[in-house]
Amino acid sequence: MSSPILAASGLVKRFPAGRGREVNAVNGVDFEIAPGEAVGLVGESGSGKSTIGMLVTRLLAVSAGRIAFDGRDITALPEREMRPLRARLQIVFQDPWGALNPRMTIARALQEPLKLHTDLEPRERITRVRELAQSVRLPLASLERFPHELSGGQLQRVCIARALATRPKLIVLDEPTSSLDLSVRAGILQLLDEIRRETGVAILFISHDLETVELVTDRVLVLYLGNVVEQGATREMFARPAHPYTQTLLSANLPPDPDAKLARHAAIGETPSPINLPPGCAFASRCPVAIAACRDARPPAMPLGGDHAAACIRIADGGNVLSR
Amino acid sequence: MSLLTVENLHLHFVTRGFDNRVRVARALNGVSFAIEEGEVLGLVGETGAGKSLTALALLGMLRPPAVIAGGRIRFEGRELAALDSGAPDHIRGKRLTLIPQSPHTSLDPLSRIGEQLVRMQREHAPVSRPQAWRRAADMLAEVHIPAPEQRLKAWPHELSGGMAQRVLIAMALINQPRLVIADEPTTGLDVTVQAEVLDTLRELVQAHGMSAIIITHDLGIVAHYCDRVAVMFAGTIVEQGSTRAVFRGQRHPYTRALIASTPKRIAERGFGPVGGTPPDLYALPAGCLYRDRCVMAAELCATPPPVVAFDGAHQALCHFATQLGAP
Repeated sequence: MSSPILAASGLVKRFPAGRGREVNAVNGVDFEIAPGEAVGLVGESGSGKSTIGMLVTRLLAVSAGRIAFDGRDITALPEREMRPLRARLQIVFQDPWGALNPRMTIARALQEPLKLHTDLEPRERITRVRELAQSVRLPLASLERFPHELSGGQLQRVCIARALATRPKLIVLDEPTSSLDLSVRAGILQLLDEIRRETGVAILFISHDLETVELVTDRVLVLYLGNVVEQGATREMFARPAHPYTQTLLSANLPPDPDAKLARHAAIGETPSPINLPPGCAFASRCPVAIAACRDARPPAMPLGGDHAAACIRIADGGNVLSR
Repeated sequence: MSLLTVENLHLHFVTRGFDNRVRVARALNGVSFAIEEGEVLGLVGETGAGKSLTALALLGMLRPPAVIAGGRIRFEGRELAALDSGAPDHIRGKRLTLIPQSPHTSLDPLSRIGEQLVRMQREHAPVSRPQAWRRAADMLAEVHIPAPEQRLKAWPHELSGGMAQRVLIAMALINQPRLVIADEPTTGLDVTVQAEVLDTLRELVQAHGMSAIIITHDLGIVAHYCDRVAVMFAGTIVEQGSTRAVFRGQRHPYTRALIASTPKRIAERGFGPVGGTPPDLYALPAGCLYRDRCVMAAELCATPPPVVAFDGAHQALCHFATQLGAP
């Protein structure tokens, strides 16, 4: 494998929660993204997936761990040295309404990154903005408009165009389609598919929507309370989920087909608080197949062939598989 | 006779523009459907299609500038649209109730859960407080809230999203309604919680022989929790029928495009034609409202499309409905 575009090791993020307590948002996460690869981060609210997106783009500082982008350690890089790298490392957020300056026309918003990161002449910038608009299927007339005059789907196209403006090597997409209607969402997914094929950009795709992740990504990491509980090639993991949490999560998905059989594994009770994390497996309190040893120590990742691995000690005795 | 019949419902928002001219947004444009006893109907559509407005019209919760411009709503044989809204009528809130979306903003933050459940009962029936309190505890147990007696004393902010949604279901069902309308009941909940909440809702609807309308944009919820489905576009129902029939063979191009937009179908069949923006409700064209986005649009579509009926109460609002449908 060629050297990764992004390598994160031992990522930890704690937020102060008052009275000396801390929210343990991310608890030692390792992963790599190869050039041109699309990696998915899935998990429910509070799993730490958005925090990881903010950490690897250096929008938040890590509490511990190391982040290397394009072979260079950026964990503690001063902002001045970080800035030129941001051209190659972009992020698109969930809410396109909040991500664009309401007082800038779309053309100006798209010119900003070009002003900051390139030495293009004003005329060349305009040409490039028009190219960008075309590449995301944005009508040229909308360039002279303000954000409030565009629909959500169009605004998300603007955000994607802005992220692409400086020809990045990695784009973090944090729930880019969650706030959009179904047919609009399909348009954005199609666009991402085209962009990947044409530019070879790598993608970190953060989402709680399992079907979208299955469609978009090559590899996927499943997060639960700030830990990676399972990872592997997307197709393999959706076909043979090994961790009881992954099995529960996938079984709760409702395919748009009345004839599809649902397995439906129920987790017990509610997600524990990230303030007082249990010492052992974070899922043990809700897991139907947990044994006493699960509560003693954090389970190591058990290899399952290829790069598929799951952090569950019951894989050793085959007790990890939830029965129907 | 159907439990609820909505016939040709039209709803307008009448406002004045900056130039003081009257502007009319035609939000509902002839909505007709019926619900039988014990049936669960899914009302699907994209933002602005009129799903929630249809619910608000049924519940008499519309306020100016929204006006019902035509149509009839009959529930248990009584005309609802004619009832004076505002005053308690002991139909809405009792026989016909709502499970609102966004659980945390829909509960009164200043009173305990039990208090809210008691108030709901005493509004509609002369029950004593202790009696209502006991019934509230039973109801929380029915929606699978653990330790219901203690939970009655909880404040809304102490509940998780899933718990708060269960409390809202309890509130909607406590007066034993005949029809409950769930408006996006699981939006914002995690998928594992969503499945549990929907299971609870279905279980109670079946146990009490109620009917339900589930408003959603999630076709997965429709496929697995609804007996029938009605698809809305620009304030009209473009297709309705049994869930199985509609998923097997769509008779309207919009329904077909909608189902083709789900990631599962894209994975199987690739990207289909992608939709544009919904029509401007202030200046609706004559003829089919979907024609600007429709891949099948022809000259004929400038005239109003007919309702074409198929087997099993499956119908579609399209000139070409008979040519569609093969899966």
